[in-house]
Amino acid sequence: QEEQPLEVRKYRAELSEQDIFVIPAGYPVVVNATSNLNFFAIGINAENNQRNFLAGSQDNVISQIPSQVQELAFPGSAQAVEKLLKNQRESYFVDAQPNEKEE
Amino acid sequence: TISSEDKPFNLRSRDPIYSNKLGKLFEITPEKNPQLRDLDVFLSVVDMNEGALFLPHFNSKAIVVLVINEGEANIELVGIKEQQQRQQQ
Repeated sequence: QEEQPLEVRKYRAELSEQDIFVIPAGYPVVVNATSNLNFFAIGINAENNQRNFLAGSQDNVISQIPSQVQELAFPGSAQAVEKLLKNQRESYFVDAQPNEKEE
Repeated sequence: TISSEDKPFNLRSRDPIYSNKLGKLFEITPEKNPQLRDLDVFLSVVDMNEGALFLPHFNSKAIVVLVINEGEANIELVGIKEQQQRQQQ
């Protein structure tokens, strides 16, 4: 039996006032504010929902993986993975412009 | 019957669960409000500054319906491509 490599599918949209967008459970998502932004959200099946972040210093699930497991999951070494994860010191909301100057 | 639980509530009456210079997220979950517990729904309101990025994340079990109230945003969602056609071969 040949296993087909799983491919990701990217869904993108430019949202403006009164637009509605549905985020299925478990699907990773990113919101980039192109102007000052206010939106509200209704979460269905909400009981005990957890918001798991994939970047940043708080609530980042990748950082919670033990380094031995990280090393097997990603091509980089445990040190390289840890260094990369620690680069983003902020949490939840960050500046969308990548830092031009790194110390 | 009308109980005290049927009163309106304000999403911004509690402290935001996430807050920094670039954005704030206020949220009330079913665990904190009986009306929401009946519906099994959470409600959030998010303020973001221009140029802010709400970092990549996913919700473990909630399906989220997002409504833009004011402003504009680019949103990116990631799913897995369906492989069913290939499996039928």
